[in-house]
Amino acid sequence: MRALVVLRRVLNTIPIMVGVAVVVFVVMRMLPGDPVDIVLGQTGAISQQDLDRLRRDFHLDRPVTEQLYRFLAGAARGDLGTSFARRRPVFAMLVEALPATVELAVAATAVALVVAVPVGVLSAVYQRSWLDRLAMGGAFLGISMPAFWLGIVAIIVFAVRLGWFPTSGRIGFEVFLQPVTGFVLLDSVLTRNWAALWDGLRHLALPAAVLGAGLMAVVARVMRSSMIEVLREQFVTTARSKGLAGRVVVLRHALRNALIPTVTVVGLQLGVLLGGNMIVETVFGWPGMGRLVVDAIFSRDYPVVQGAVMLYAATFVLANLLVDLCYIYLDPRMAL
Amino acid sequence: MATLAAWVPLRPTRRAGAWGTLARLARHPSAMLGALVLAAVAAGAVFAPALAPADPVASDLQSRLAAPSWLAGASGGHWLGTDGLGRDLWSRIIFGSRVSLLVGLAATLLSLLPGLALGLAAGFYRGRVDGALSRFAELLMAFPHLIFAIGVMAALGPGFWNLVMALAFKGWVEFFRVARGDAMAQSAREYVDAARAVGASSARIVGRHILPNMLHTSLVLGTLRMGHFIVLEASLSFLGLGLPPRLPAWGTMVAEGREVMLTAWWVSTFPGLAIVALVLAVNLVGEGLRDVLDPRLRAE
Amino acid sequence: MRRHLLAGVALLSVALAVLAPAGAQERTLSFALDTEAFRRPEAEAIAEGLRGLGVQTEVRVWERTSLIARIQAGERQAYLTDWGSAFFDPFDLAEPKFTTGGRGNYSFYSNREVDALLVEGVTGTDPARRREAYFKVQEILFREAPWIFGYFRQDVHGASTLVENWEPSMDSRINLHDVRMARGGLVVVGMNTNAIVTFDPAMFRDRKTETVLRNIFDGLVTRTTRDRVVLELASAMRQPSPTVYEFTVREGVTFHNGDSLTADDVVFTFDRILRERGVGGESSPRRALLGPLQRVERVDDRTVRFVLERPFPVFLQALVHFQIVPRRYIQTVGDRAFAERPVGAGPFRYVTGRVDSQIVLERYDQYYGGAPDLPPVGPAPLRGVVFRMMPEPATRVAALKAGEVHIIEDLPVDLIPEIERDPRTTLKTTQGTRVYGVELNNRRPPFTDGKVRQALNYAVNWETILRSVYRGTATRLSTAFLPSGFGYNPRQQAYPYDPGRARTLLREAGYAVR
Repeated sequence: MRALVVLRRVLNTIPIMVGVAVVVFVVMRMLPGDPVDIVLGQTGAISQQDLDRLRRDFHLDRPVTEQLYRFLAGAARGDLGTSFARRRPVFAMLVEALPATVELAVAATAVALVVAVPVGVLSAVYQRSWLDRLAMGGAFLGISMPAFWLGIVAIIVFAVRLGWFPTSGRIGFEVFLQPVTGFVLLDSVLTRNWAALWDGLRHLALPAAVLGAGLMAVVARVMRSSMIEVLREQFVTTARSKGLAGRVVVLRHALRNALIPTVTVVGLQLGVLLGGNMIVETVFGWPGMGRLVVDAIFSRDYPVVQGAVMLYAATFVLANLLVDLCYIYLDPRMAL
Repeated sequence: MATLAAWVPLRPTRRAGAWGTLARLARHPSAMLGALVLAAVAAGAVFAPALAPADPVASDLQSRLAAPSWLAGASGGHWLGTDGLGRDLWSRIIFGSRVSLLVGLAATLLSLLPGLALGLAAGFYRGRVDGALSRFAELLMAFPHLIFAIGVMAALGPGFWNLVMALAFKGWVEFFRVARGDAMAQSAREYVDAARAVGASSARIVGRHILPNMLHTSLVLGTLRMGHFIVLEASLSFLGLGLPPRLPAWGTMVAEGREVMLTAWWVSTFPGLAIVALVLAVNLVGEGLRDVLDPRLRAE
Repeated sequence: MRRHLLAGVALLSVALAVLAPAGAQERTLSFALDTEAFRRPEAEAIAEGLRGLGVQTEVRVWERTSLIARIQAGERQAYLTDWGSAFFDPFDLAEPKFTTGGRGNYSFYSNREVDALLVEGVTGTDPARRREAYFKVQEILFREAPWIFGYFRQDVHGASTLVENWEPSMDSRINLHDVRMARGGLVVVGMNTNAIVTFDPAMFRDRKTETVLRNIFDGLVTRTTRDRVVLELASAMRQPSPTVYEFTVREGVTFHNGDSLTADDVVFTFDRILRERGVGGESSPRRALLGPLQRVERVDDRTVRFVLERPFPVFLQALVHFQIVPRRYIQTVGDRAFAERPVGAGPFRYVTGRVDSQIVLERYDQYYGGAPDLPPVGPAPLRGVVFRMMPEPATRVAALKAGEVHIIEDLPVDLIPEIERDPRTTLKTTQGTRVYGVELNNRRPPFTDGKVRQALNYAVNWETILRSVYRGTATRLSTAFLPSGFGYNPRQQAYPYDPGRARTLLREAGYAVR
């Protein structure tokens, strides 16, 4: 009864989302600090009247249970509330910030795959050679470097000292790009603005490389070990075969098989990537969701944090769901 | 949830033997390199007062941002230069190893033990226990670790145990998943049915048969996660949510150097290198352990 | 029953009073010094100095919001704080910080005489008497030392040498109307923030947002780069009584969408701020800055009357911070849409941009000219302005040196030599309007004792600390009144560095010293 299993799996996501909503709601309110005070700032004159008005606007004068109900009911409808700091609908703010984050995550993944897959394959084929050792050493380095440090060093070396790349931001000021989808690269292609495309790529390069470094390392190692596995089997059966042609066939076949666990890993890491790029966004001044959330936590902008965490959770849950569904279809034993 | 666990191959009841493992590990070159670096860092942490040339917390505002002594035109006296308060960087790095090691170890242990225990329970007993625990674990996994940790630290304030709690509260989930998968796989083995047929109690089965065969995956995972925790602690310190400032922490040091990275690049670079070295060492040891304990274990 | 209780309490108090000092002889003064990350060097330096006297001080670093929350709850003992003042008057500095129960009164200082004097200062009509009242306040504050009084800083900015006729303003705004470029006509400004808050002049409270908006919108009045208020959109001002101000709106002013600016726009601007839920169902956080303003009336097509509940001497200073918005445009498109695509009457019009990355403005050719007292008058010489959000100081400086931006704000002290050395960049400084100090919780021991507070004021070697940490860009304050503000007493001496007196006072208070 595969369909039943699938249905149950899908339905399982609902209590998770509700749970996430409740937890983030509670944790935010446990943080010391009054959002109203923060909006008014540490400057100038503040009156009790202003405080009361804002508190009413933010619904913070209502009982906590009512606030929670309002949030949950709104979230179910797709209304994530209004930001305390910017007085805009949270949903709109997230939608605006999302393309930057997604673009960075996708670019990082692309960079990682483009580097890691060939490196992994070559390492597997020329196992135990100096290439293999160098590559695996590099991979280890990649997963050992904290992103914030790598980012800073990259800026110092490539942006400041060498001047090859810009120091921060998503696009230069002198380039006027017509926003169509919110994705700089896509928009510049759609509007045939080649200057914008080049500038966008230049700005994307360093953050994508830094963010992709960790993923690059993991993928390289996974590719290598799965290739070794597959090669070992295939190699034995087609051992004494047609020489170079055989090698190529084996390689291609092996590659296809070895990619499966790699794709799995990438899929699972995508959720991590979207969640973990806050540091990179902060260091590079990238106007994405990660930076938005970190700022919102520090300024106690409850609605933005709640909405963003819900979005992250939804992404994670969706990614998990897709992976699990794939396995349910691929392997009936997994339907537990 | 059960997906990746299926890739863990089943093991026979023959135990590897701790000495045998260590012996095999000693022949593993990269793992030994990692162990060497780890030992050096640990020694630095333990003997810090003797090794450090200067007081790590003594500020000397007259010699702020002094360059490392081996750079041309430096005033000398500080091997790796000084930071914004004039404190010797090398001494701070040595003392900072204490924080990274302690936090890493504490967070790992506090994640591993509950994760292992709960995973065992979930995998062995199944049913409602498994259901409830798995649901809770999935809930925690839906939060990005950094956001979760930021929230906890902002709520609790700075402090060593607050930091460890922030890391472990979500960290145990990884161990739980792996342990659960292991336990489930193990309980499905024939020898368990056999033991049960003979009349052995659940506790005996778990204690004598299942647990010993699960330990190695948790151990490997532990070493790998420790590197992750060290980086996470550094990230939190970087954001200003780490430990009280009297204790030098590598992440805080990188953050402090961010402002002056144009002119005093050493303030951020060297503490960061220390983080890389430690995490690299831990990862190498973990990989070595994994290779030694089961060379067919798939990379996660 | 009550008499017995009273007697018991009295007996207990006497016992404690006799026994306590006896037991207190060998006490060491010990407390926690809280700070945010960016002031840690200063905190560590203060703590080290105090330790030299035998005072146990531990520095704890907090995230700003958590720290302020805990301070307000009265949990902490001593903390490094700062407060900004925009009005060049104690109204938004001493008043919130020292009035009993004031929202900014983190030291929980309470003195009825000071309260009365501050009221007189804020609402009085005779400048001489107001000044006297403020002088008295400074005297009392010095004596009672509720804080370890600190300093104010120079605002340090960097600019490319291509930028002409720009001087930083004391109120932190970057006014680009009168600026020229030696080459090209576009100025890019690197802002020290992640994002500005909004494009709606009624819905923000921070200076960074105001900096950008002030180039898109004009106000009835504006300020020179120092503290003098001059007319801008208003062509004349009358004050028929202490509580009534009348402004004549200038002729020939148009908004960026072509609408003419009339008295109705002025009334609309202030109405939406005064009213609760006046801005698209939300309340403006700027209401308190208008003080006792009660209502705004349209007298005729070109005249607006402001009626206050009581005299408010800083009203003109306050008006500088309110920008006129287009009534018809907002009523047509709604407040939300206005906050996304602003339309104002300032020298630059909004072209495109987002609050969290960059904002592009271009010259408004039909600009009426601007304040007659701030030459040159006329449309802006620049053809455009871009504000880029660059919260990383190193990035800002690198961008300035690379020529990617032309003006950067908030230059860190350690990077000053970088700008000075480079022939293509130059340093621009002005007096800041933020007060920095160490506030002490007057309600919790050990700072309930005035002697301890005074001792700490003698014990901190500010000169050395400020020189090392701020390299000459910070200046000592005698109390918490700024030299640029009204009522500052230049003859009020600050506490000198005198460790001997500090020791004496601490011993008198019953603490062991080194």
